[in-house]
Amino acid sequence: MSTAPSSTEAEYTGPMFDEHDKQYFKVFAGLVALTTLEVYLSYSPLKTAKAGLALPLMGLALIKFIMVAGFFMHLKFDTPLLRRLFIGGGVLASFCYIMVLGAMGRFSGTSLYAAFGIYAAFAATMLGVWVFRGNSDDDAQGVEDSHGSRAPTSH
Amino acid sequence: MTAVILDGHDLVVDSHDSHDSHADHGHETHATSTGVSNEKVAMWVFLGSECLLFGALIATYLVYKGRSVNGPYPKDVFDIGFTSGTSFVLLMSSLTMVLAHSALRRGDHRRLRIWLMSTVALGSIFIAGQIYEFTAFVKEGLNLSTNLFGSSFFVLTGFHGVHVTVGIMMLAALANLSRKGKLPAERHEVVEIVGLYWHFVDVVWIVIFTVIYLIP
Repeated sequence: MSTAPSSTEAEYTGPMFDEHDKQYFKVFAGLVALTTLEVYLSYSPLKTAKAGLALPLMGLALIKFIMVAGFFMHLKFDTPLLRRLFIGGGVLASFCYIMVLGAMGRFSGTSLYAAFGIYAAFAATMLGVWVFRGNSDDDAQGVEDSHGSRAPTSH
Repeated sequence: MTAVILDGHDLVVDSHDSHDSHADHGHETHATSTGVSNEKVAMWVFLGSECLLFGALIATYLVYKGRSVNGPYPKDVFDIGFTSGTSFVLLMSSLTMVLAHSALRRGDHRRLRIWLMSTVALGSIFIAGQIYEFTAFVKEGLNLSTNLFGSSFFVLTGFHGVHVTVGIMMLAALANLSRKGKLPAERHEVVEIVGLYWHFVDVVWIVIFTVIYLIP
């Protein structure tokens, strides 16, 4: 497909990248580093230890997930509403699926307690972000009037 | 100065010039009851439903994991090195996607098209890799009905591949709109919304790659 500019578009003469783009490059570098670490771990001696690898790999995947959702999907900077939708849904959905896995016999003995302990820590962290991060951002998002409508305000 | 733009049904207050603010990463306040455009909320609600879909597919894979009574088994067919390469390609496509949106916000239409087409190319490479992988698995005797592993693996990764393909089509359509001059900087939220879908496809792969390929 041609990348020739349309005649209606003004020729852009500014910089190729701005400050935000530099941040995106840093996030991408972090994602590449974490992926490399994941692959390295999957070949490490830990692989032979049952469940010895699952926890660190899931932790790394969660960090990558948060980095993409927070920076590339702008959740870190967007309105609290979207963050609450995503976090609330994520916590509820993951609880639902952990219950399903437990009911289907995927956890037994200590692994059951470990799974729910890890999940409780994850849910508490996410709900903390849901409540506190959301409240602190409300001030920057405009003021609701008595009818609940949000007045448009400039950032 | 703050620009006021009438964008379809919503009054948009664009803070495009406050580029130092964190809040300027791709959104503005709309005169809706939520302060967010209806289209963007709709995309997030859709992505929420997609979380449930992929969560169910991943949970199904985990339920059936290790319960196949006949091979081939995952360790017989997986090529971690190859899949790591395609995962890297998909991660890179998220970067080019966000750079495309950033370029349109600056009014840089030429680079918008370059980054969009780069994203299309990287997504296509990922799909080509998946087709190659599926073909190799079938040659090794693993198909949708061979065993529990084959059924859950092909359904999960196949659904993901379909999502990537739909994303590629949306990106190509955006590039075409831009080429025709129908994607002005004021409509950058359209690119952002398609970008949300694309990044979601990426984060789903982050989970799939770890849960299916890396965890033994």
